[in-house]
Amino acid sequence: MGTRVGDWIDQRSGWRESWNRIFLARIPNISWGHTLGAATLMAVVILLITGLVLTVYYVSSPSDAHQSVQYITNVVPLGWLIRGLHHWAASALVILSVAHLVRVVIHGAYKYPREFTWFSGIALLLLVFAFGLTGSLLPWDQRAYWATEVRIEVFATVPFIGDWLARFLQGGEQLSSLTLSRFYAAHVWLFPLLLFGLVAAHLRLVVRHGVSATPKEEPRRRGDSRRREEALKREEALKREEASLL
Amino acid sequence: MKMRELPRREFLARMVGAVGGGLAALLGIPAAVFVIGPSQQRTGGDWVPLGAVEEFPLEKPRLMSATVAKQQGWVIEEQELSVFVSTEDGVDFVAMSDRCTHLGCRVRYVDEIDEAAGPGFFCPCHNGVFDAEGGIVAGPIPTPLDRLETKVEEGQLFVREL
Repeated sequence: MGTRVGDWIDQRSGWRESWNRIFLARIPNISWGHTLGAATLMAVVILLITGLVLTVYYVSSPSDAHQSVQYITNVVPLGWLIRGLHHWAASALVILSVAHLVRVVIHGAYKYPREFTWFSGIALLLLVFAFGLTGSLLPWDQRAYWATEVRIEVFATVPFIGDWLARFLQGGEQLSSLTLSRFYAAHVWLFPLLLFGLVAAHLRLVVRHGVSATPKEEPRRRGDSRRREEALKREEALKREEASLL
Repeated sequence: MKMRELPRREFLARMVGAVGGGLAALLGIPAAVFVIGPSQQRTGGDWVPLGAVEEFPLEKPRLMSATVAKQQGWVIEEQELSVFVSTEDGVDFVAMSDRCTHLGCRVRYVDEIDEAAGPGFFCPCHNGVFDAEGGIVAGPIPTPLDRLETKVEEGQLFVREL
């Protein structure tokens, strides 16, 4: 942005401070693994935009759902692309989220002070699965129907509350139009709202704590290292003795 | 010629901006095409048979109606099509919609609508007056009555919405 226009807006909004804190923050030496979070976010953005426009044509009633999806795929210009992007970005999101989680575990980045970042990330992962469960029913074809049937059977095996849970998910005794409309409502209203909140919190925490450094072996300092090691050993031995005394 | 030197930092910032803009366009343009596309497609109509050629009187237009199945999205909707058909010789036909071009009320044929103009069409909603060819005579009418395409095949008259 031109400096003068940027200044004019900055005086009135203070955008530069946030901008600098987010994009010009000093970061430690990082690896490609550190980009998995941003890749996950990108998949979310693709899903939001394609999902938003898919609702223009999609109708969540048993008589229309399948035909409206066929209309999107075969008739609407670039419909195949938008639907394809939504489909594949959904798969990519699951893979990227898990890869991101594995990176965080390997680097131990879930530890103090980033516990809340970790917890919000776990909640987001569960939310991604919930999006997948509800979204895969919407095309309302044989595969969608029977895959959902099986998943609901799995929920029904939960001890004590299984029956209740299956009915809650189906909106009744069996998979029906009620299931389709409640899955749609969850997929396009409830879950996106939760997603906005959790992603906002997750990113806020990332900006607050900064990027975690790649862990590596502590460099030994010359000179005092041996003496320090001996002191530590002595202290440890003393502790052990105290513990046995107790 | 001397090139201005671009610091590494600024170069990278510009690259990030360019790639980001490219990604936004890659996603935004198809999304816009997807939403706007079908709204601007003109499908036209199918040929609708209205009856045998000899059934149409020469002296005054005859109001014909037919049910047309129109595909809207993935739903086939039945629509009523009503047209005035007039002919001077039983060979060349003119088909006009009976919907007033002002606000879409239905017009009716009147034998003598105006002393000067002779027969024509009258819209009761806002006193719109068309002549026998559907041209504007009086009232708030913006354009003449809509014409339909006509053809005769094996003694049958067909019309098609433009």
